[in-house]
Amino acid sequence: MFLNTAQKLDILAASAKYDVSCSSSGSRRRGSPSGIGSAAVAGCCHSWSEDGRCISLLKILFSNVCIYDCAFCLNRRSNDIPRATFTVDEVAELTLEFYKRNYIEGLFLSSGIWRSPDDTMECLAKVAETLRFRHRFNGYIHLKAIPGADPNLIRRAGLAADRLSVNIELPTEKSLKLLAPDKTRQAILHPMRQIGEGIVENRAERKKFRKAPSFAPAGQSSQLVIGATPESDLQILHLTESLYNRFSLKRVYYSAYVPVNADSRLPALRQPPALREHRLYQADWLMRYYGFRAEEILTPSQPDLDEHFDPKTAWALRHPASFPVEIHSAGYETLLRVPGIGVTSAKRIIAARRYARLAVEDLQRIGVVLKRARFFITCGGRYGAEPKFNHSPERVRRELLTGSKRASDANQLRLFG
Amino acid sequence: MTPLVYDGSFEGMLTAVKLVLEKGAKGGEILPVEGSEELLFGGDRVATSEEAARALLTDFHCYAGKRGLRLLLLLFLADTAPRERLIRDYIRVTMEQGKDIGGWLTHPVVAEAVRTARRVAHEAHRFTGLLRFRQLADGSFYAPFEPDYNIAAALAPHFARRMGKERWLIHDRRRDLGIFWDGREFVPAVLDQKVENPAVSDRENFFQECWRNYHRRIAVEGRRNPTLQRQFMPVRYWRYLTELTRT
Repeated sequence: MFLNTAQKLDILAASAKYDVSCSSSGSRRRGSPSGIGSAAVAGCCHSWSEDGRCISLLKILFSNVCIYDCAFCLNRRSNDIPRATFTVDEVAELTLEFYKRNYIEGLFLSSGIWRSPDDTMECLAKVAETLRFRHRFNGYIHLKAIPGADPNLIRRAGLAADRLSVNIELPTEKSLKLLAPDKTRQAILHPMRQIGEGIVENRAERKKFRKAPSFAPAGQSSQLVIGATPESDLQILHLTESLYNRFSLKRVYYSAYVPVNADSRLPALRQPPALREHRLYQADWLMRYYGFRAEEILTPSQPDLDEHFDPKTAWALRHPASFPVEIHSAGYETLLRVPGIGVTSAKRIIAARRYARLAVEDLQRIGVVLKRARFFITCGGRYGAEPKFNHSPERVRRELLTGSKRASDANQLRLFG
Repeated sequence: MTPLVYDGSFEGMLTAVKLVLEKGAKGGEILPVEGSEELLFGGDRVATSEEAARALLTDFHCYAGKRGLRLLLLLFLADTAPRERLIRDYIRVTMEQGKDIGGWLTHPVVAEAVRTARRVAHEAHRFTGLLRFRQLADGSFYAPFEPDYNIAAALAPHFARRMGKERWLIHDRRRDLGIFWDGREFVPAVLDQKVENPAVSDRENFFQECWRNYHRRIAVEGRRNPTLQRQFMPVRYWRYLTELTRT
């Protein structure tokens, strides 16, 4: 059957939607007069779909034909679904035309494994090369690196793309064996290591020679499925932490498992575990921006994230000795550990206290949300609110719990989907 | 003190601010000429002086630095807010203090100015993503929008970097102002409502349809959350969003 571009787009967008990443950040490309496009370090969202997720990149599969049969995946070999494969020029044209209309910031291209990992990787690299070198496209390009592909192909992909990613899929080798029998842990980690090393080398090179070609300047990321297998949150956070530290990943994405296949190896869920996913992202943020280590967030005796409290509040409730924090003297890192005070609030407090003494009401005025923070701070020696946390941590716990009951879980989730 | 009326330009406003500050009195209303019709006894018309404006900015820059200048420019784009008062008071407090007051967020003048500037910057950033171009029959691109603040000029350099080869027009339909990029430089334009529906290129409808379908397809049905969608993409912007309009 012959499909036109629009029909293929229909099929291959629907097939790509379970990939979570859509970030367009981390790369700076200047526009050139003869080419098209530029990339900003902060990234840019262009639209939001009905599920509330941001759309920043044209996120499609090159092909949804796949030789693998992973239990959790819509595109697995044994599913009877419409299949399609783009041509290199079709993808390039859609990207450029969407880009000119300011629908998107660039392209996120993934693919089912058709024929072989090498064939697939070569097509992805070709699309990126066509955009970058033939059309002189300076927008953002994110490519999937295909496990098992020739390292030379991955190298080519990295020289044309801004970001590369390899999905780690499942947190442990055992789960991988069960649900994705065609993939091995080793085959997944191998390209991650190659990309990680490539990025580090390239950075050093570009310090010496400014004009050296860049290799995946926006770094690499990965994604894993949450809730399809029995791993604890602690196992997941440890894995994440080692990915950040050992392969210098920029981001790890978590995807609450959405049942798309009937398969006896999979749990029967009525709803995707969205709250768990949300808590994992909060913990992830704590590790990347707030200086927390995985072992501070969770312990073997408490291996799962609390449903009722965000991970920072849960940490604070376990550490009454670290509180209260005095707003006028605490350093940036200490302020960041206060529940409810984030990067923006901490910076504002530090700026504002250079000019004047701050009372609790002043904090509210400069935009600090006090709902949780008030129990954990003092302003000029005065507690932000009763009950005093280091006198009666139990009462504060109860107070916070009833507060969060009032704003129901559904409501809390609204912010992050 | 009789209200001062200026020509609507940034320099004109700074000239008026300088006059007010030199008088030393608190208050001192400043109005752009388009907003001054309702004044009962009229106001004193200020002759714009580039020299006076530059002198004031130089003094202000000594204390407030680049960040302070950026704040003034953002405030000036906030034409639906009391921008003259905000700018006048912000400059006055800076001069009185003799230092940068940008971080003094508990000061009422600073708080209001910073909040307003943040809104303007936020809207400008938003529209680097939400502006939608369509290709017209002559091959150029056209992007109509109705922003809360006068941000067309702040957006233009971003799109010039991005689409330098193309010719395009950003049209603020709320103010009937436009900025045209002819492939080499900007041409400011005063437009009227007649450019409502210019003829589009042959393939424009095809790409619009692709984009609408893509937008529908990419949502995960099990996680529908229109409230969240609206939070990021307020309904007042929908009119010009290709993916949310029907042809």
